[in-house]
Amino acid sequence: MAKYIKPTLRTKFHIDFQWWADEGRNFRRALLDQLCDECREAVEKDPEPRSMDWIDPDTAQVFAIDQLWHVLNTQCAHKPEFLNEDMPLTASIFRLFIANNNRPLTPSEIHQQLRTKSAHTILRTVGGRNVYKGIRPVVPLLS
Amino acid sequence: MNQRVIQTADFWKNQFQITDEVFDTLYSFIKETGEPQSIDAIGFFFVQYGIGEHERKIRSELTQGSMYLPSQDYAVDDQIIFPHMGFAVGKVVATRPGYNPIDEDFTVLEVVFEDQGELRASFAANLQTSHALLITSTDNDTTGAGTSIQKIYGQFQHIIRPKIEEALRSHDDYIEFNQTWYLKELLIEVQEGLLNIVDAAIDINNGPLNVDALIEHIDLEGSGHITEALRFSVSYCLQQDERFENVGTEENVQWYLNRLKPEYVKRPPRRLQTSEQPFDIQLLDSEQRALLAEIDDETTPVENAKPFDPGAASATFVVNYHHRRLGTLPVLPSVRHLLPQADGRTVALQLIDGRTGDTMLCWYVSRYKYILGLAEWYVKYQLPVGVVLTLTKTEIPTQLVIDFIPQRVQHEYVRVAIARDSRLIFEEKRRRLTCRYDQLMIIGEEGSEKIDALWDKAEKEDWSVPFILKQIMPELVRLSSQGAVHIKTIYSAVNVLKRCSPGLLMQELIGEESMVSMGHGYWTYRPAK
Repeated sequence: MAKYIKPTLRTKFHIDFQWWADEGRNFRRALLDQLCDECREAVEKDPEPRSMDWIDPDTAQVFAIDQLWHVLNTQCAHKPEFLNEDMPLTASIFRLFIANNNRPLTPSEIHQQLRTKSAHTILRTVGGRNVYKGIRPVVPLLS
Repeated sequence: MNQRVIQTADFWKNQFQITDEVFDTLYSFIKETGEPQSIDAIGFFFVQYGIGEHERKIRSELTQGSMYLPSQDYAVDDQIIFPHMGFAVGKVVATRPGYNPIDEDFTVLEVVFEDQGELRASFAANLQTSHALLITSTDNDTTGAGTSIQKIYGQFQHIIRPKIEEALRSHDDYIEFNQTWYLKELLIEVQEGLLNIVDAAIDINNGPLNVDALIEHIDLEGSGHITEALRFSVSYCLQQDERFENVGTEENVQWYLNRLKPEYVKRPPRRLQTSEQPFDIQLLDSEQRALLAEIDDETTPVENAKPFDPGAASATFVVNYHHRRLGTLPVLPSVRHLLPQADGRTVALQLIDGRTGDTMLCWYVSRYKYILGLAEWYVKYQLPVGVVLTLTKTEIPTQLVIDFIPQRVQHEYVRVAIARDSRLIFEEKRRRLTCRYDQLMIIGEEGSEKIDALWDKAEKEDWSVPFILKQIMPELVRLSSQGAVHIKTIYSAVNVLKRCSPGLLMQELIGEESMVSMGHGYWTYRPAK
């Protein structure tokens, strides 16, 4: 279990795949909720879950996750409605990480990309003890 | 992230050890050069040593296995070194085919880090696509050689420097003066008799002298060349003698005699001594907070003080009663950034009269936030309490230009403080004014000695701020045409009797029932019937 670090505006966050596994949460369900209508239709025709080995772009660590990730990252995320201002903040951040293939971002960088809430609000939302959608500070594997 | 261990704060905080071995190397280094070394030069030396040690450790670890590259193939039982994870060594315990639609087929290695409590993690191998680790691995050599020592020291100086200073202090071989360290055994002897000559030279000069001038006076330079070792030795010797004090800056050491220092440099005048005057900023509304900043008192916490441009070469401010009376200047945040670094010491300054170019020896008493030595200058130009002054930097850090803004001679009515029957009263009297001043802060005085006696009484009897307010507010209200007095005027008047910060004053006004806010910074007095 990763140790708790008090995040700041310079702390990098990402979707922690290990958190989804450790908490026994249904990551596929969370991904299904993000699909666009077109992709949802396609997935419903072939509902069998398939996993893929996602490679961390910085460390080359591998996580086995649902292949819906790839669908979202390569198709849904390119549609303009994938990220919109009416969305709750945590949902927007979750989708932002899907769109950028989970490359870690600081609250300031998230703010620059989402242009909705302030960096401080983003930090307060994702930096507290409650974890939303597995969005957590990046903690080095070895410390 | 392929960040080297030596580029992390954790390395310099927890892993970097100052051993006896490194001290032996430092000892030889100083002895070979024969010169004192600044703490930063020693810092570079230790960083270089720390990096060297780290590189040696890595080289020995490299023999334990092969470097991890996502493009390479590995087999079960292979030992792999992960450079981007602090050169951690892991063992491959299993492999399986891996797949994703972008990278397609590759191998997934199951790795166990035995040193990390059998931690398991999966890594990509046989990767045919590009990856950040493949790009950075060609940029960096494995040992970290070539990393800029200066860059690392600059980045972690706040961690490294205190560690080194603590270690140096615990070694009797090393001595320090002005952030520079030297070996005790290399110190050049300065005989007691020579120190008496130094004493006389400073006395005759009637001002501080730098160490080179002193060496010339005592004729210690021999061949004519003043070495750093000689400078250090003389300064170190003077530092050990209570007669002398360094009143210069870190870059320009200046020696002076303690006995010649003005009394108010040795101890702060009572009028400038402020005990802790905490106040609750939450009690102040936004208008009052703006006025708190506008009054610009050096006791106001920096976060509530008047903002200033850090790039500005000059500061403009209003002089209040106590500074005008004592011939001092307040070291406000806007003034502080014009002054040399003092770290709680006293620094001799040369203030240049902006009207005449004459220089005045003044004293920056950093611990108590004032500059002393302008009493005659204030009198010379008949500058009143509330005068607007400008202090401007020059190219020499210890030289600044002090000036006021002259204006056509005017004869104006001003509030004049008079001590009468153990009370402070105010009368309006015409005064000749030749400079720009703050109309709300200006206060004249009559009978300084009687006012001083009343100050003594107020101090002895511990007059509270509300008590003083009840004494002076009826006076000030009586003199105002609107029946209300501005906070700046109240601040100026209260400080004739007691050093009171504007924050505390505002808090007391708010808490006192008989003091009524009229808005826009004005207050009136309505005693209970």
